[in-house]
Amino acid sequence: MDWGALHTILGGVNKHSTSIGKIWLTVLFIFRIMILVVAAERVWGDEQDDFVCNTLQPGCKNVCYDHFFPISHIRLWALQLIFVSTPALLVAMHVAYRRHEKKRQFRKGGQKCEYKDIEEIRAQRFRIEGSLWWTYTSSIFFRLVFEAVFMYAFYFMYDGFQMPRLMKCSAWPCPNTVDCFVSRPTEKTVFTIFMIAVSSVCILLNVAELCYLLTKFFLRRSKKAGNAKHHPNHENKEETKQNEMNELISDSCQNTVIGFSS
Amino acid sequence: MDWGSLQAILGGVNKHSTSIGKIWLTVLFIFRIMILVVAAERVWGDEQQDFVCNTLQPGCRNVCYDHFFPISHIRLWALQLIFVSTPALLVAMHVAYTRHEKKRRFRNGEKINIEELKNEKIHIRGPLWWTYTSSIFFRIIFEAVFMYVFYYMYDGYQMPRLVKCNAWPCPNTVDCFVSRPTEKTTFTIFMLAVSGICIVLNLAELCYLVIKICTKESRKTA
Repeated sequence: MDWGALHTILGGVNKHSTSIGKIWLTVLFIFRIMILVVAAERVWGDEQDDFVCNTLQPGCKNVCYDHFFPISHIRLWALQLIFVSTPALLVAMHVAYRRHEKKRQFRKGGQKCEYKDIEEIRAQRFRIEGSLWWTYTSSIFFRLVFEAVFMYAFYFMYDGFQMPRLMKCSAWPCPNTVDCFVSRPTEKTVFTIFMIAVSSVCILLNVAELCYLLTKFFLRRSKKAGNAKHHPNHENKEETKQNEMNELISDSCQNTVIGFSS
Repeated sequence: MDWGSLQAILGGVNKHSTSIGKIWLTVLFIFRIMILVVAAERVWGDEQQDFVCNTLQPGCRNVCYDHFFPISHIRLWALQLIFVSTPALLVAMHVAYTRHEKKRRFRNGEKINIEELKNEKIHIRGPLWWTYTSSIFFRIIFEAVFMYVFYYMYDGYQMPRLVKCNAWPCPNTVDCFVSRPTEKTTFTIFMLAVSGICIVLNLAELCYLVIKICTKESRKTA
């Protein structure tokens, strides 16, 4: 279970996302997870080995390192990325539940036999309407909250986003005050600022997606109110036609930005 | 999520590229990403461990290393490769959007064959031409910017054997010796040369696209 597995899980969610959601997912995988794996982990790789204190006192280096770095940046980023990716699973669960219900109806041989077989139910792409809209919107809201909380945690824990070269440590058993030198502080500062910038870009994308969904919701409501006045039966015919169209083109909805390997 | 996944993503974009674009992608993966992963990372692997300073002063080595190598070559190359690959995703998004629009028209009742739509090779015309050309333009910009950053940060492309450091807490001036300087210089020059080739390929592709559109325009008017 590693980042590749997360990629597989979220790739499936991608099918039911808006366009902004797909862009967000691309930014997450290429500019955050990939940078973390191929670059940042190497930069922080020797953080404790090359954390040097100007003392011969045994245990002082350990204690000072632990005092100044309660949780390593790399671990915080990994946690942030996992928490931020997870709300999308709410959407996946909701979609799975809907599919399950439709399969149950199909097996019972319900009146609306819109599907030729179970495979079509499996491949159907659901539109973001009704209860799915609420699930999707809450997932974006939670993403925003998690991003903001982690950015604040970084700022709070490390007094800003810059990595100092020198730390003065006076924790026991260090004698008096000891100078401790951090490994690769400039490179770490550069990557911290880069990851913060990409986090902010992701927050903006999520806010944009939230606004887009709200706008769509209000427009649909005003259209329905308009339709209800003039065509009381029109809606049902529209939905049935929509479902037929969805069936026919659902298996060609593979060309998402992430899933371009086909 | 590693270089292999990037290859999977960009492999899909390859379908809609010109021939020069496909050559560029091959050069990128074989002569840059692969060299980075199988060779360059090992050369730079012990860069801090074997960076030795002629002093017993604790912390001096850390500080001197940080002063002379603010960002390691390997990280700069990784960032360069990611930034240079990313404009191709603009093209991928545009193609996905075009397909989505065609499906929407199909839903609205126009007669389009769905199977053809799935496998259709979208020609580089109209707005897609602009997206594709901008993506090549951004690629060239990113390549040039990173090559300049390398030159500026390391005062040229040669890795010195000895660096003289007098940053605190080093006492007076201290001699520090870089690990594997010749091998690093060789790889830096190699990666620079391949960057240069990629820039030339991108320029050629840009010229090809511009000439194609100009000949098409002149044929239309004639």
